[in-house]
Amino acid sequence: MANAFIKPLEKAAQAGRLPHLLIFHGGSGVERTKTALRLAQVLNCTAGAGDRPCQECVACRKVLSGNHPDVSVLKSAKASIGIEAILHWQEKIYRKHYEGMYKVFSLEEAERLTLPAANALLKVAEEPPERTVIILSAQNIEGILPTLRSRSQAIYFPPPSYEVWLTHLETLSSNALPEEAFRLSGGSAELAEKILGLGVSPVQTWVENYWAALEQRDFSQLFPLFPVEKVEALVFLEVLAVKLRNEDPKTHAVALLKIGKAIENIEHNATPRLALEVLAVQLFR
Amino acid sequence: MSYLALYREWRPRTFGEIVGQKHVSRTLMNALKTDRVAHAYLFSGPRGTGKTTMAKILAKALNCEEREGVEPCNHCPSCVSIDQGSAMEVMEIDAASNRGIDEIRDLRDKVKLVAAKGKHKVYIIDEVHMLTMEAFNALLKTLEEPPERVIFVLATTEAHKIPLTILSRVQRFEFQRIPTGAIQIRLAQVCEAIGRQDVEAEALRVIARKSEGGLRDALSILDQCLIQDGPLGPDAVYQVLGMVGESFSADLLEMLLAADYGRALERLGEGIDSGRDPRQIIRELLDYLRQVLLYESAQQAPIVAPHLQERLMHQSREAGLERILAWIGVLLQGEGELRYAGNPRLAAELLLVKAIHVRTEGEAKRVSSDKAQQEVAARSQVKALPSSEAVPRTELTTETETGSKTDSRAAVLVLGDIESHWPNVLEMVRERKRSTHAFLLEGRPFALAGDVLTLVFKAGYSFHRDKVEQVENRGTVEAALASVFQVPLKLKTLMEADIQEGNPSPGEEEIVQKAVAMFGADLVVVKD
Repeated sequence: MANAFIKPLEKAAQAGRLPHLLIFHGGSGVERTKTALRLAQVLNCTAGAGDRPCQECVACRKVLSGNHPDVSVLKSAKASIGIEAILHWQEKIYRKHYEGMYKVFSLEEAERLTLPAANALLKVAEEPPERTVIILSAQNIEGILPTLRSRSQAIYFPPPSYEVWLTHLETLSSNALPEEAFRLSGGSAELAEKILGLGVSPVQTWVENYWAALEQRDFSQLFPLFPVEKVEALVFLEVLAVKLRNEDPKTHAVALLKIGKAIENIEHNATPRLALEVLAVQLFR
Repeated sequence: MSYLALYREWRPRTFGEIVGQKHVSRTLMNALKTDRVAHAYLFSGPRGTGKTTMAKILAKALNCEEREGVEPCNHCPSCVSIDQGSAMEVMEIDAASNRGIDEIRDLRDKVKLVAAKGKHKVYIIDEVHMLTMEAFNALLKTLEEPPERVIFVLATTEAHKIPLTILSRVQRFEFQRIPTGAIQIRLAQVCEAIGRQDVEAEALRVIARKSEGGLRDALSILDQCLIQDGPLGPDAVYQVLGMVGESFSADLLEMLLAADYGRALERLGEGIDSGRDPRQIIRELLDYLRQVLLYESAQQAPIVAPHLQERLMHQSREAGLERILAWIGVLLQGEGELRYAGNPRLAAELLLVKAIHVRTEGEAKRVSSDKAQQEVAARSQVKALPSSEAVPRTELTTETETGSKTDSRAAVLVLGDIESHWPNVLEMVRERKRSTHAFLLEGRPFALAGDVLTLVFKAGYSFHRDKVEQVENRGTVEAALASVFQVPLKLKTLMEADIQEGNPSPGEEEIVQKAVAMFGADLVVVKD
């Protein structure tokens, strides 16, 4: 396991000393879900203390197939998780165990909790019934209510390494170059995924052309590079920033800052073309 | 048998056990003693400071059958049932889940029923800020005049969301953040009680700092750390919290000081690759800078690991207040943006680049002022150089460095030189800052004594004079003077009226005399 803290967590689970509220944040969603299910297995496995989870007993298999009545994973299909869903879920938390030793409740994408919903979780998250573990899983912990965070133990998942990331990729078309994408992204799996989505070579060509135009101070060379969508522009600029940072951050310091500013502007819905052209003019100097 | 989180297991059960909040517990204990408990309380304050706990203790004390003074006994049937949450006369309501008017109406109906066994009925309404406006209003009448022996305790972290009509009907207690020292002591007590003396004091200090005044946070973190066996030092705590630690921040600051882009980014990369959150790294750097700032500005002993103190003091001296402030400004602003950044790693890297960049820009000024100080020491006065072309900011460094060669051509600068080159100075100031130039236009050089240049402003232009006196503007003008005349000059400003009194520069003596006249001789002490 990549995360050094998961081992102690499993150990705590085996000793029955797991805290009742955990927040998993960072990393990839797949990894967080996997960890949550694994913990549920450890808690409910019927094998002897040493070899949990055995992956063979009924409990382990039920957890894995999503059929364990005491293990519930809530994943909202809507853009936000409302108070209705939480009140319903809360009721389930207060119920007695069916067959397992521990009830495990995992809420995915917890940053999408609405404010009333998050507040409704407070009391149950502070003092849940015995042998109950609640796991909130979120990409960015800043999106979770501070009063909830104070009741929890937060576990940070670092961004996945290249190998782990590769196994998480669902489908790869034959001509995709994951390795190249990962290199361009400077080790950020999220960016690498976006690069793959746009295609590695178009991204590379665009960035090279843009930079070439800048170096030759030729504004007319920029024209064929457009039109550019918002998402594309962000990826291009981030790749450019990674490239400059790897080359020599000192000489490119000003350029890096301007690129950062341009990224911010585009995120705030500035017209991508305008932002990119303004950046070019600034960097001509 | 089930494992209880430390903060639940160690929830205080008497007023005496509560850490901090003496102002609240003392008032409540006195009220209990004199039997003058109010019918409605509001406990507000930051998370993890003991609001719900205090409410529960109050409920127990009111209903306890064998009360010892004012403290609940914690073993009579009443206390036990309240602890278990099964008591009939203490209702703990989660207002965030029961937030509508219907729930409050229901509560209002039940309030009328008298408590069993002739005791007090206590309603603890937790997270009360989440009630809807209608629900609050439905509560108003009941809250104002509840039946006999009914007591409401409202608890919330967000008192500003409570309507004023509610606030005026309750006694309000503001809970405060618990001091780091008190948290550390409590943590040590807990560790000792559970037989974990192998936890180092330094580790507890890190936890207490990180908890930001919330004891619940602190105990949660301790809980998380205790999962590991064996002695617990600060490094283990950093590991568990996903922090990089103070020495890492010290290293980063070292690289900021050296303006080394490559190594700063490399170090940041190492931190991220070892599985730390880039946001966390920046936040810790900010914390560290805050300690540097406290030391630099108030000479307050830095709260860092003992082996880092010396290093921090050294760094603080090297950096100087201005640069520390500039860095904190950049990082603070960046930290806010970083929270929601799509690519936190890149954003953190850019933030460091920005911090170093800001610094090198400020460097030009700093070098020139250093230079200035050296020259003051040398007392060498140099004939003005007619430098009519403006010197761009970035070239300032090299320019002043070559300036040292001109020292040899020492000659005395007189007022006439300054007057003849005054337009150059104005032009130079305009290059740097237009607004300063506008204010300076109204002044003219009047006298030169040593390295002090006196400017005079016409009557009615005291506003302009005050503006020029401002530290920032003054710095700009002095820098311009330094680069035109290659001599550090100090600026002094006067109004024309002052001169007509025949006293261009009120000496120190006169100021002292004035002070003596105003305050009396025995209160005035002249210090250097």
